[in-house]
Amino acid sequence: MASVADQDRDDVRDAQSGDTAAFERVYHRHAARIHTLCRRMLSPEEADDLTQEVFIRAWQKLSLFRGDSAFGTWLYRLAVNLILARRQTFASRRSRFDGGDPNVIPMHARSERPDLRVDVDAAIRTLPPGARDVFVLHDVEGYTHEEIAGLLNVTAGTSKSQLHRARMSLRQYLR
Amino acid sequence: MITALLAGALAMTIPQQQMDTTFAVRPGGELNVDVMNGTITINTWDRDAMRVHASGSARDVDIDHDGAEVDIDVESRGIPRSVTLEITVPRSYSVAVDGLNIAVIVENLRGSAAIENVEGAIVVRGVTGDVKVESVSGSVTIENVRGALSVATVNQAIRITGSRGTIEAETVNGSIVMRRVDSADVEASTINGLVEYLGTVHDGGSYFLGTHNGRITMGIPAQANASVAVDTQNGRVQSEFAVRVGGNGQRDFSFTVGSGSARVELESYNGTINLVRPTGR
Amino acid sequence: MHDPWLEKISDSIDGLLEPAGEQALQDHLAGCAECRTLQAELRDVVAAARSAADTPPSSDLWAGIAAGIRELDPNAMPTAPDRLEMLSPVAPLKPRRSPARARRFSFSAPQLAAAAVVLMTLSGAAVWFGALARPDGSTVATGTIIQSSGSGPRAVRPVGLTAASADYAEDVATLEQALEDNRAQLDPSTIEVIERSLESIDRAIEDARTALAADPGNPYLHRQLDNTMRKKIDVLQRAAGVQRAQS
Repeated sequence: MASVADQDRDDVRDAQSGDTAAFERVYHRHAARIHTLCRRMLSPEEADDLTQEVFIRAWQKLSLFRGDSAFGTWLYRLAVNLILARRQTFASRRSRFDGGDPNVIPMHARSERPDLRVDVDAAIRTLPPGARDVFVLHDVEGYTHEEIAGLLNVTAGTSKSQLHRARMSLRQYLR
Repeated sequence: MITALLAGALAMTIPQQQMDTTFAVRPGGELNVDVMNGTITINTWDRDAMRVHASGSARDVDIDHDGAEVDIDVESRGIPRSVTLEITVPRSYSVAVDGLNIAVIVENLRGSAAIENVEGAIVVRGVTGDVKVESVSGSVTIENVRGALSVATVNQAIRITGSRGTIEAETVNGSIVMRRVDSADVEASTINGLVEYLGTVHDGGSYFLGTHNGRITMGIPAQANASVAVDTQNGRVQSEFAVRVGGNGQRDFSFTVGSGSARVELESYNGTINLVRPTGR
Repeated sequence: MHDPWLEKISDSIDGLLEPAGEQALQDHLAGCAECRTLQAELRDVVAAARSAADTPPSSDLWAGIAAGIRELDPNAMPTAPDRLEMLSPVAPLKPRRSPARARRFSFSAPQLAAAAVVLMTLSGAAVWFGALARPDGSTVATGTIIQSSGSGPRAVRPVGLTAASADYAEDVATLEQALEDNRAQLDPSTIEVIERSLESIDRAIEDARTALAADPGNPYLHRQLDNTMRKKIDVLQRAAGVQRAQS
């Protein structure tokens, strides 16, 4: 069974020639990851719409994908950029590192799920946007601070301090 | 693509390494030159005659003329090397040059010039008639052309100075630089190169500069009247003009200089658009 | 309080501390229960994050994506066309600011479809590709057919038509094969020039297509793509002409 990367390579190449069936396969392979990212970084309500936009944009820009990185990485980066742009467009003028919405209390944080698999997504959404972005990109997705600095246009130092803040804040939900 | 047609009364086939011949022609005729490999220089005189000087390793230079049209066809048999042709034509002539790997210079012509090659630098100077140039990897230098100018190359730059007529210039990877140009209708587009226009902006004129990835520099002189529309998807806009923005925001806007008579459109997908006020002439 | 150590604990979890710092932290933790608790809690957070699963959307979003793609790219199809057929949509998607310019270079599908097409013969006697301009002719905008008054078949195929693209691919293939078959008749320097040219033309075609994918409504890019594709035929034809001259 070919690896995801191999399957992507073949399907992306066909998709670059206009083959939408190949692109549909690419979509199914990456939908969960992209949708989850959208849910975490924005909200469940916006995730469907934004996921579609990510893939439409990816189709549009497909010829710019040169294959020097894994397609998933390229797609993910595109998604992050779109999410940040969406937030810029619709957000209020508050600094992105201001508080999030602590009134959104994860339902299962304390009582029903003693194990680690609590509603991480809900917990993450209590974070203010900047800390949330860094936490998702660093702890969930495994980007380094330097990479995050590039993605979010902040310094690595800011990324680190936001991460610390995020982790501290999430302690109460993820015990 | 103009290839040699063998027609006409007199055909001279001279199988030698050097040739120098002069023969009478009527004014206002047409010269067609087809050479696979070599250097072709065409200039003019006031005589009703044509002179052909050929040197190099060409085995066959076929000159075919009937007084009104002259065809020079250099076919290389065996292992061809390059031929050097120096041709002097009546000033009123028109010329067409076609080849594969040929450097071409055409100067001081009152008729039109059409030059097509794959490789080799093309230089056209002081031509009054229309000029059409098509190349793949040849650079193109145009100076002081009065007629309509149409230039297309793929990989190399196009440089146009001192020209007067309409300009259509197109390249994929090269730049298009137009300086001291006096044209009322300019269309220049490239995919990866930069485009620059520093010339007159005529009332009622039309100027389009487009690039996908490159930079655009458009000079709008002090007394010009122009409506300028700028459109860039991902690039920046730098302007020496105070722009009163009308449009969709900072990447897609228009402004007016003076009466707004000329139409200027600048489009870049990824590149920066520079609007400058040229100093001096 | 414990703030100075918070960051160090967090960095330690990520392996970012220098050995000296790591040692200092361990020394501190040995004597500070609060920090040890903090460390455990932060480790839980990180572990939870790392084990957070991706879950798919509750409904299949493909239909919406497909619709969006069709809006952008009417030529997209569910099967892969021949690579050489990949031409961008004919109809400009975004109206250009200047209708005058759009008029000059636009080409409507019905207009082209109505034009009689395709007379490119590849015969032993002569291979001609219609000159797109002659010294006395006018420049031909993309998609227009010109008829030559001279001898030989000279109608030009409008390369901008998707319908014609299959023929284009075939013609290129035929000419390339002819070049290959008759290679021996060409001297190495000529072959080199031809191959170099074809390579740079292919790259240019690629560049044009890339640019068009990002900016599909751009009539200039369409024209450049078409012109470059024609140039390829040009060079192949010339090579065939040269080959014939040698034989």
